Amino acid sequence: MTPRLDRKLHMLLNESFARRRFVVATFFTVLAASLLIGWRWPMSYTSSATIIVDDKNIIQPLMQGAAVATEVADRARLAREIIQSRRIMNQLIEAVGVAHAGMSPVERERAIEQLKRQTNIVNLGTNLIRVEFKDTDPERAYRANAKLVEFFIAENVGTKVKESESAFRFIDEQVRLYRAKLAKAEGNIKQFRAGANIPRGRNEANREDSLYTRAEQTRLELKEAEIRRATLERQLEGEARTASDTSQERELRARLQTLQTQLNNLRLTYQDTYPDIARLKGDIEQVKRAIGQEQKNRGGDGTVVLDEASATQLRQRLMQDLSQSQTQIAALRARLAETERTIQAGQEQGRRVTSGGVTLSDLMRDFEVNQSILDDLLKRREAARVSMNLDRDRQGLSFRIHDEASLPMQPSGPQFVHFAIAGLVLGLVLPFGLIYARQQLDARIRSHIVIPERLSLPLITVVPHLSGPEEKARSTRSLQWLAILVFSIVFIVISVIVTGGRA
Amino acid sequence: MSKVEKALWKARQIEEAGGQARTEAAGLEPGQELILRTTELQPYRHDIGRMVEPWRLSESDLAESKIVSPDMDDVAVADAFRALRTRIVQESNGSNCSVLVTSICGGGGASFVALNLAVAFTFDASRTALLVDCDLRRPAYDYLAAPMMQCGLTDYLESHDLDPGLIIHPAGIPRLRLIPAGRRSEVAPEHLESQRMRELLGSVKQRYDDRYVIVNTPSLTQTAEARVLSALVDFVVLVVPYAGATEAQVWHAAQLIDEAKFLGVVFNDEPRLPGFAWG
Repeated sequence: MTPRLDRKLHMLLNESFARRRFVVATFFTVLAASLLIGWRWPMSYTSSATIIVDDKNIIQPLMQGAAVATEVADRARLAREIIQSRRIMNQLIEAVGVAHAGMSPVERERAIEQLKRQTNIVNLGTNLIRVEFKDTDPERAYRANAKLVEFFIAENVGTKVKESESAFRFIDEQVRLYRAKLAKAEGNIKQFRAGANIPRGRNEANREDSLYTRAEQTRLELKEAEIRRATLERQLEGEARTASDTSQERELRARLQTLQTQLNNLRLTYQDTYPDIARLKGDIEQVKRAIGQEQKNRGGDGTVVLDEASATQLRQRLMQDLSQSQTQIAALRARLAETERTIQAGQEQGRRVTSGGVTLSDLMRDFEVNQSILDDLLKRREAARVSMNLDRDRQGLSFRIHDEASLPMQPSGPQFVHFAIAGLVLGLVLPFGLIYARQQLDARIRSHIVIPERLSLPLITVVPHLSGPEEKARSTRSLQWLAILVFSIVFIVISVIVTGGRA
Repeated sequence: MSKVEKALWKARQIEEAGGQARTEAAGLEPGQELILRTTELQPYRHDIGRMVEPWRLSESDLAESKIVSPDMDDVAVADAFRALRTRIVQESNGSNCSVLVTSICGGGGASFVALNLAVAFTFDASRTALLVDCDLRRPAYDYLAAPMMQCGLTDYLESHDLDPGLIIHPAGIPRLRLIPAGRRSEVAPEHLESQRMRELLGSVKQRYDDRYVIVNTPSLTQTAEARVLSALVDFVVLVVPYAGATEAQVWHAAQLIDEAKFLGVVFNDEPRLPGFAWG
């Protein structure tokens, strides 16, 4: 204990003793008053029922993500709001029997206010709500509480179904709205396309590419065909000049060459007069004549004459190829021309479209956005539909009665015993408190310590209170009486408390 | 010459002068003469060691009058006054002195403290005390002087030739003498400022060097007497009763007293639980 506190306690005890009459008188006054209040205090009975807020349903984990279970944040407050709503209270005053015919609105209002005061809703845990109804009549307390819980449950289920239904309706409405928007966007695009005769974007480019390729290909094919035709024509022209020696002439010429070689060899050794040379000369002349004869036989112009059958066959084939080639060329030319025209037309169209393309992309974007929103909304609508069905089948968050309202047997609230105990405690505390308060409020010096410490004045001595013999005798007598009085009263009060108040 | 011899000598002289002369000197009425003759001279006839006490307060009388005694039950109270006495003796370096006891407010217990302080001095057989009651409006010690005649301070101040010895009375306690307030309560406080008062206090102190003079005055803050008389004494003691004054009041009262003479504060009437001596 700090010295300061110690001193204060001493001061309090000393002064309390000096004012013991006041202390005892206050004690008795307080005790008597509290006993009287306890005696007159109206008995009240409380009927209570417990409601479970069941949001951990078996359906919920299954439907996780697909459906949103209705959330209830402050269940006790919600419950209080619902229970104290006008509708339920109106039902209750009928059910309890407070209402009677010819009741004025003001009286009705008062009755409702009274019922509200009698009702108490406590949040016991996250999932437990206790509904209490207090009344002087236990029977009525029970009846009212049972009705209250019944109304509450009914009201709550209705509210939840309504809530999820309205959510569904809202989403449904949105779906309709977006569907209409999407249809409109689509119509806009169609209209635009019809007006501008625009090839589809990507296809358009592809087609142009393929056209170019085809034109190029056609050109190559044309060139090829033309070359082929030229070759055929050349072949047809040079057909007669093609030399083809007969075997006879070839033999003669080979003999002539041999003879010439022999002659040349002999001339190296001999004079032209040599007989062999002369013979050789004659042979050569002879072979030459034979060759000349042979050539004469063949036509005389030097060209090789084929035999009639094969020549005709070859010529016919060449002619056939040539005409085929010419036909191909004509076809290719026509195709190339057509392709080039198409390309040109495409290019012209492309040039025309670029200005209108901005509007088109806008329309496309609009369409895409609407489409994605609609997709999302459709998903949500299905989730809402499931939630609604959950609530309709009471599978989502639900209120169930855990503990039925019961008929209260014991009176609730403060009872006589409590008043007696409170009176004893307060009777002991109050006088000391008053004396202490007086010491605190009264600035007059009650402790000699103040004089040296706060006033810095020398303190010579402290003279305690000196009582004369008469005062001593009186105080002894009064002390005895007070002790007897206090003990007897306390004994009586405690025995009353132990035996249990009025019972 | 010892104190005892002085007292003896004075007593003899008075006896020789005769009763008639004394009566005339005192200027008293014939009715009181008888009383004077029979009682008031007794103290002077004996030496201090055997100061004759014509009457003594019994134990029960002391208790009734709230007067401390060395062998009283309530040791704490007696000790408190012993402490006060010791302080005064220390302060006066062993020689006798005059001490003014005043209270911060009316009913503050100055007369109680003054009386018991005087009594505390007489605990010591070698000291005597003289209690002077200067509270002329509310005389505090008349009951002590009641068996004797009540010729006191006012009588002395009013008359011009009354011997101081005539107003000093035994108080029923050994070695304690008393100057009561006197019979003439209408005497103005201004008389306390007079030269005669100064002479009185001077002479009673100087007469015996083992005599301590205790002056009881009314409240310091409510009347002027205490301030007037403080000039005539050696020390001043301020009595502050329990729950009787605020800190500011005490502080201001202390400022009224000459610092050199201000001995200190006596905190009076502190309540206690029976059988306990707190703090």
